[in-house]
Amino acid sequence: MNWDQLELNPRIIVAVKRAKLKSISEVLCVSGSDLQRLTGLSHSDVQHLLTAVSTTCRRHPPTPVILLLHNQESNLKLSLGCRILDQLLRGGLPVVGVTELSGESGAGKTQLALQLCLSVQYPTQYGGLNSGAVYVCTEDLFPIRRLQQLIQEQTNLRTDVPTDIIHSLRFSDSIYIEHAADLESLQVCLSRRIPLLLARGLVRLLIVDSVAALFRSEFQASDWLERNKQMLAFSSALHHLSREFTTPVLCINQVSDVFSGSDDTLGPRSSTVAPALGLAWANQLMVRLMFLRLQRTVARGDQTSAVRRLEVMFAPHLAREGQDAGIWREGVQAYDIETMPGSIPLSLLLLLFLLGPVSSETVNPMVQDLISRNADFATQLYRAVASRTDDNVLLSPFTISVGLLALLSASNGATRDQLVQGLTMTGLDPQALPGKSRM
Amino acid sequence: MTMKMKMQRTVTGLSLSPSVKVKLVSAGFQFTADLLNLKPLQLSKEAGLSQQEALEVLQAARTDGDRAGAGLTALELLQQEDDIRSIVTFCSQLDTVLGGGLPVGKITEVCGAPGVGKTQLCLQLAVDVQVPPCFGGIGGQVIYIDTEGSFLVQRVVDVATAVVRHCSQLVEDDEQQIAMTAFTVESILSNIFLVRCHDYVELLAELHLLLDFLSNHPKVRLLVIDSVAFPFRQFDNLSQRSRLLNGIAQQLITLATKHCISVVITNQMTTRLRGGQSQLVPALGESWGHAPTIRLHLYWEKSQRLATIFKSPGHMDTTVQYQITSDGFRDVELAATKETGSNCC
Repeated sequence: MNWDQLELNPRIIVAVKRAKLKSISEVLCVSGSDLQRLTGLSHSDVQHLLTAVSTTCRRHPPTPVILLLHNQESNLKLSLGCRILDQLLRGGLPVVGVTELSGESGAGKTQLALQLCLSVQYPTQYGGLNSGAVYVCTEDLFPIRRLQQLIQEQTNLRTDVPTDIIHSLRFSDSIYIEHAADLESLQVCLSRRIPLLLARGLVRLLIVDSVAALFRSEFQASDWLERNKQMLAFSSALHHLSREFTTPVLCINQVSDVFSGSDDTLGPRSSTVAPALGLAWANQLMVRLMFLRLQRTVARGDQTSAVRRLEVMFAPHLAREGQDAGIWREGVQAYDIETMPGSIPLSLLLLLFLLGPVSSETVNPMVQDLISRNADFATQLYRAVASRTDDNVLLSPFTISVGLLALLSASNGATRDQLVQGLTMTGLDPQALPGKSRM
Repeated sequence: MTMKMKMQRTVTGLSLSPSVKVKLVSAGFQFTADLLNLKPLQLSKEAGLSQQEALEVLQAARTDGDRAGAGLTALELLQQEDDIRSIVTFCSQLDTVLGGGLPVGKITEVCGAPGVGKTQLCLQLAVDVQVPPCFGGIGGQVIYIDTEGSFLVQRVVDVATAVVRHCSQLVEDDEQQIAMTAFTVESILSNIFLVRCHDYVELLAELHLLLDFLSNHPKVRLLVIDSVAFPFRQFDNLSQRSRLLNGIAQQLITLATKHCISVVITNQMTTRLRGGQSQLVPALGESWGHAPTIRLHLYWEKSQRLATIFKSPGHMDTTVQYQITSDGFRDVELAATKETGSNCC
């Protein structure tokens, strides 16, 4: 510390130097009377010294919050790449703060993390931060194949973004991958390489996948004191990076089983698992999200996926809510029942079932084909409806099919294509479509 | 006689540098009363001090004398406390057990596990303290020291909007009508002064500068520190830590009483192993527990959020239920209580 820079009477500065005080924190950590004793200064001189030192420490004087409200930079959110999931998080991940995403293996944590690596590269009007991402792997190899697939499917995922913008982004060039197999190499990474990338503006998202692997494997149960110390050092490094470079930090965490009724300090749980690493880690987080894998599947077009539920466990600005999502070829995407193409075809299938028996005596191969396609469709529809509820359901597929067929015969272009796809009738001779032949 | 005794403070008790004290004592000055009638020049000659030192000695002796004379009787204190209203929490059950809300001039600590609602309570109070007096509020300003980065403007806007809506529904007379024109979300946000402190050194520095800020902003009635624990959790030297924390506690008490503000601090929970059993206790150790006047513990029990007052000179240990809604910190409505009650059965 260069004491001469302080705006102080030279007499006081000389006394401080004589007392061999080295840093600002040393001055602030010594009590007022001890400072008087050490420096031999009077009470009022010590007050002058403390005020001057405190002023150099202070980054900003107290700011009225109204000024922050209109500050674009601090209100930015990083989009998850799915409109409905963004709504759950009120826009996405906050740009400053440590967010945790926990879940069982196979719940989709890494999938969402990869999606964020791509989403961060979009311009800010499309929910990105116009920069790359750094991905620290601690337990597994980076899933590079899946990333390639996601990049190719971006046009299907981000229908809100013009295609020429998507094609102009060189996604894989802006993702920096670090492998850190132990705490020591992680620390080197966090203290040297990542600050460099952030300072150069090459990245604006830090993902650690996963935190639990390091702290779970390196410490015995009896070393918990040491483990907590390391964990706090790690989290304060993350906080520092996040604040210093206004960069979102996402930590992926494993879960551990909870024995029923043993502890509910963190609120009611919707599953039998809880995020790993305990209270000391939870205290360090701003937002805690959890991915649950549910026991049902959902279909969309020709893809099916197990239903995942993204839940907000806590966050200063979010309610404790959840949103169902699926993992598709193009990425993690929530669905709502009205817009899901898979749910439309159910009624059509039923119609075909009913139409089938009428002409059963003269079964022609084309009709046979139709019937089996419709059966596929009915199964998909039933699955889609049944996956939303455990209650009894009464469906009248005939009514729905009639309606949809009527609609089909009155539509063309993209609408017609989607209807045909929904009814699993792609590739059929147009003349064979029930709408044309029967109505 | 008693008055005489009180004035007999020794010069060594003054906050002066040691060398000055030695000179004073060796020149025969024992009590502050001996100094009061002297002129600086006289003193500097008699005690062999420089003029500047002599001036400081006299100033110190005089302010010390003022303080000694400023004793208050318990009756005066009681009247003072009655004059100051409390800050309501918008959870009427909690207000009732706190005797009308959070007291001004005292330190209140809110502790609890992450996600239970500590920050929500702080944000709620930061808005509530600004409710105009004609609606039963105290119309004060707020200093909010955020150490965790959990102060999100988006959420303050939610809470402020709900409070403004609530007050506008209560308008009955002209005075309240006029007050409402000045009580808007914008005015609420411009009366919250935010400071972000990233480590304990910055927090110490900020607290040191606060006295000055408070003298320039006499309308401040609430100081929030969310949280005290965060910058102090990572500390190797525990005795150093408790010394610094004691210093902070001392500063906060001075701020609270001198400027008549309510100080709200949050604290994290930590697990303590005792006799093979783990137990949740507030962080920062035993000695910190003496700093706050009131300790409020927020915790989950099944799907209910509960608040317990577990240290307070004026209230019994009581537990109330609360909830966090999109509007902020609120009562649990009776219907909702019944419903959860029946769910348990």
